[in-house]
Amino acid sequence: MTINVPELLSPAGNLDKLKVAISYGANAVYLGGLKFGLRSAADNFTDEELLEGVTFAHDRDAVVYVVLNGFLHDKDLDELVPFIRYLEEIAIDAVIVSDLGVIETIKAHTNLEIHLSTQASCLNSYSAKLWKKMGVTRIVLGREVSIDEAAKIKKDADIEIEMFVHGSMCMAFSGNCVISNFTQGRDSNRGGCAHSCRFEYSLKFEDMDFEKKNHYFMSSTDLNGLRVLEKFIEAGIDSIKVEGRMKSHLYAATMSKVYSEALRYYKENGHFLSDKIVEWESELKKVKHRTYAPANLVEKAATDTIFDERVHDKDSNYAIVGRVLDRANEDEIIIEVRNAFNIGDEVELIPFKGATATIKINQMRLMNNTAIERTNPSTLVKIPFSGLCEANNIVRMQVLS
Amino acid sequence: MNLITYASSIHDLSYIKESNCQEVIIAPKDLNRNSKLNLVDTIELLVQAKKLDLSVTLEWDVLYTENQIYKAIDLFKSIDSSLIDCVRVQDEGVLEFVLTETNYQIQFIAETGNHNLLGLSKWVSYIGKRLDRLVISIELNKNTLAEYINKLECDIEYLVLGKILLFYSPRKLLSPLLDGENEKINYHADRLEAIGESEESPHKGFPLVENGHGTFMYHIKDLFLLDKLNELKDLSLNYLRVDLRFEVDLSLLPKIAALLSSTEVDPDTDLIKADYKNDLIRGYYQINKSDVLFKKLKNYRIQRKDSSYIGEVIEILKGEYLAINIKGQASLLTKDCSLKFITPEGKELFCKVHKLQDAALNDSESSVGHELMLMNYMSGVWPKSQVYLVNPL
Repeated sequence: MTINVPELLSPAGNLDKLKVAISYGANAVYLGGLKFGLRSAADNFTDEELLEGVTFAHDRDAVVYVVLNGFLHDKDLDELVPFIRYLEEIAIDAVIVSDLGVIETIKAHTNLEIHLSTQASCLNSYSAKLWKKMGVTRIVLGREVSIDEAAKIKKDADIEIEMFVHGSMCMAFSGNCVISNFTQGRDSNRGGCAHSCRFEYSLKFEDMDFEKKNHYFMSSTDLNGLRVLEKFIEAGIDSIKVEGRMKSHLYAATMSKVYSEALRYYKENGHFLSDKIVEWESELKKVKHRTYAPANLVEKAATDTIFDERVHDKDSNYAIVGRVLDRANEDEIIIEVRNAFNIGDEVELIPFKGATATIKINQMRLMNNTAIERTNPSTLVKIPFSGLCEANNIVRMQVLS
Repeated sequence: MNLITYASSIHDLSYIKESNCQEVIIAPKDLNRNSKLNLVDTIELLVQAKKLDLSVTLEWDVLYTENQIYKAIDLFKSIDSSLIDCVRVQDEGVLEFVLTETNYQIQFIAETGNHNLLGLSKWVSYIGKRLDRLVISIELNKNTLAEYINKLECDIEYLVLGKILLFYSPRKLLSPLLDGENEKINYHADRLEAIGESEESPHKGFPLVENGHGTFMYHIKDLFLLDKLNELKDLSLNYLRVDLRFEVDLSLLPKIAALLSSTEVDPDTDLIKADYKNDLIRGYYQINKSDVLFKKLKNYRIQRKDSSYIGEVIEILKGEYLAINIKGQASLLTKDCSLKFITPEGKELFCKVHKLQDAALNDSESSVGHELMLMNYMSGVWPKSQVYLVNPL
């Protein structure tokens, strides 16, 4: 019997991260062009990078979705037409949209498949039926919806359903927060979110003559759906999505590897009754994160889903060291250094599949073969390693928490 | 131009009649974000509004997940339909229910995210003859408003006085702050109000409300466009809404109505401002430039531009080499070719390749099949500089 598992949809903040995410097991990625999305500060993709990204993905049987999920103004729509024609020309697999005007523009000028963004806050089957009539073929449900509710929406509206499985959460209903618009002059729904919900606030309850100082009362814990992955599968959810186009290469690699391995394990075994789940959970904790919680996936998010802290990497004691760029020769690899390390350190090379390789750094050389004791960020270093290794493998290191 | 507002009590209805309003918005708290009215009081208010010959709009603006919407529908169905002339909705699911399973006229709240004519026109055509009006966003400036009033084939409503909603969360965010404080304070669990401020924000004093639907945060200042009434009249705006639900009562409404019926060229709004306790702003009415800062959010100079792109400088060893991560697929880095470097600061530098090596330091003629190439050093080039071929074939 063939067990169907959801598509794993990973974030691709730029072309390098796209390659990392797909190489580590994502069978779909979502990314933004230079405009029309919700991450103006992200690297995003130029037209040339888009083409290369689509080619890279399609060559590896992965699909590419392009976010056009800003709530656009008229002048933005004028600029949209040539871009969506280009997207169709390079054969992207779908666009992710929240605005009805954008949907109408896409339908009028292309035959692109349209997915409704979570930004549209589609939360129920009535809403799903409406959006289906508007021409969307998949709905990325609002993060307030439980997996059980999602199953019912899928059945009632007879439409593909995508749900977030991991990552940062908006505290507000998506699309229903305009704090940045009115306090920073930056339209949060066109890519200018200033993350005011992560600020520290003091609250005065005047009726009660009571004050609570210095709380992060609007900040949400991070979503982690690993433990309820089986529920996603049983509910027939079509795609599980990882948030985080602004996040690191290590994040893109770890999320793609852990969730793809988990889905593959289920496909082969039909269950998660394995010590593997502890191992995967441990891996997820090795990337920078706020406290993990299943948010609304099983039951409504309770008060323990408020993340009343500023620092969000205190229990993740790993940092990216760099990315493997190439082999210098059979016994030596070249790492593009992101964080400094020293002779004597132990680093971990994360292969695309299988167990992490620990490398004790006994020797390091610059590209001109000068021996060094310590690396610097934004440099290249050669270290001895003859094991299995490919370009875009991520190297990390345990650091003091 | 018609004035419309909310009634929360019988007393409010008398102000509404005194102001010659033809319509009133009423909402039970179970279906509405802001209302404090229970269902019994709502029905009583609906009855009284009908007796006063007012057209009654029931505002049903909560957003619902799958399990919640059916409970809300049951509650909605329990209200005598003869007491309601029109239903005002925002959740597209609620819209779909009202449109497909009832016969009510619909006022669609398009205040969140609907900022283009094409999208709004589609809502108008989708709801069709059942559409009573569109309630449109205060983020649309006056010129856009004028265009939409002219082009949309439906009545338009626009907020001219009231709180600006900034944030709507389904989670309870205030009550957790009071946990463990019961000995010091005594609070009503069904509604909490607070004022928030952050040293990280240039603004102080955000009103916050937590109720059964979650938590709402408002702007520190309220929208005030009453000094633009003549301009709005000239635009032929059909409905202007004032939202006085955070005021003690509607005593200000007759003064606003008088202002509306004034024939003065420049009616004086100072009295109203003096009676209104909150600070005021015009929001985006004059102009909306909320996208102009985007270009400052990232460095466009280091973005890859065209097919002459070779790659990115990822390391420099002064006097020895530049290491280039080969990224472009259309152009080849070859020995003796000419290159242009665009630094992160935007400086353009040119140089010829006279030495080219692969990652193993073997001399090479081209970058074919390589991720990384080393070339002769060039002063002034920094990591993250973008490399382009000059005069590509």
